[in-house]
Amino acid sequence: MRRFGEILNSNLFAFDEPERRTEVLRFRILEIFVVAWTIQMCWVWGAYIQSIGEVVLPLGIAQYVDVSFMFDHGVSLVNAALVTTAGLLGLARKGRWWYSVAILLFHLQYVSRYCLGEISHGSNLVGMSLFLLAVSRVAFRDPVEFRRFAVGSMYFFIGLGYTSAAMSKLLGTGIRWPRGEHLWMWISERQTDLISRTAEFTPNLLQEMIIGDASIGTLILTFGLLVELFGFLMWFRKTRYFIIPTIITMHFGIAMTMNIRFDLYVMQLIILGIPVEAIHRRFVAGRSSSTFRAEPTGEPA
Amino acid sequence: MFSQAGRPWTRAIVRDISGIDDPRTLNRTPIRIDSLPGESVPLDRYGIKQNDLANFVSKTAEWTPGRLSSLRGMFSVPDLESRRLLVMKVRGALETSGSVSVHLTPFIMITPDSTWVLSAPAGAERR
Repeated sequence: MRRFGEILNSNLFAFDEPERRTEVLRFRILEIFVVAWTIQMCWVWGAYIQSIGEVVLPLGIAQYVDVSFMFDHGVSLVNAALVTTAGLLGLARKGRWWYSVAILLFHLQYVSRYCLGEISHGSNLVGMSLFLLAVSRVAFRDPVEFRRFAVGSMYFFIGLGYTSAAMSKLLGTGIRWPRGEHLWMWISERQTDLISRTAEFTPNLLQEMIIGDASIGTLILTFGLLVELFGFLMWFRKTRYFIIPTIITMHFGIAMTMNIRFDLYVMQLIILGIPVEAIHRRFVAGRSSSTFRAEPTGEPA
Repeated sequence: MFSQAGRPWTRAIVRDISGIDDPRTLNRTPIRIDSLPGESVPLDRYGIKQNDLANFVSKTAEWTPGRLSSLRGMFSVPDLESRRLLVMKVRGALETSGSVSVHLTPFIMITPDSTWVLSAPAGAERR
């Protein structure tokens, strides 16, 4: 167990290794992505929350606190402004607690928006990443350790999320989860949703094949289940840049079969899944020194 | 949604039944898909969140006046306020034969001046 912990530590964090410029670049892009989408969602949700009348299904803190105060007088828009301010101050390194403020207010915005029964998934990865940024920022003063822990923990929890999703499917349904008939059910459900939204639905070629032959659906679901099950492989450097593109492929498959898009997931996985270090070594190595260790300062760089 | 495969699902669609003379003839008797009353109301066109509507309808256990009012508020769109709308529950289930059956049931009526849940064929409780 201890040995496994050491392996995980070296693959996810590697605090003792010198930091590469490409790592800093990836972190910056990731951080800006998370903060930007956090702000965007809060404003979009903020406007919609003003039209909500009643809590149907309380989530998160809404199970303990009546969040109906968010529905009137522009409170949700004020909250969006507060999240924006906290996010930008965190991005500008004006203090170590701003991301913590942002995630708390983001959670309030999320549970206020999704109190009508739907449990949104698309925003969860951004929310989790913001939480990990907040934890890292508070826990680590050293800028390199802050960046390493933030990104490493994202790999850990995203990988854990996919693997646990597969386990949940097997626990919830059993080994017969990938039956093609189950995909028929989801396709018909999504078909109903699309007809409700647009008054029309035309199955694409892949959906027609699945509807015509359940074994094709079984094959597709089996692929998806296995991909999720091995999501933990992104914990390890040697398998990370194989499993992440495979997961991205799975999401394209979900979009084509069930018309369910996980755009934010895919975008963030692309940022995490590009082997920038290997690309840099292959195409840029030799032109300049590619490693450095940032000097610890009072505030992260 | 995905961890428990094969379970029945419930969603919602909306029909514009402004052209039907007496909406009180409608009750919660399942309707065939080729016999749907009125015209379809594509929710995207009116900025109504389909997922919110479907979950609101399927997860509400007790239709209080407040709950009906909130549902009505979803349709507070200029183009829809003067219309007579029928919210229908759509339920899908996996039959023992392996095929998927879909049942549509009229559920809630929204008129310019009232909102009510259709009851079983015996009558309706107006709110």
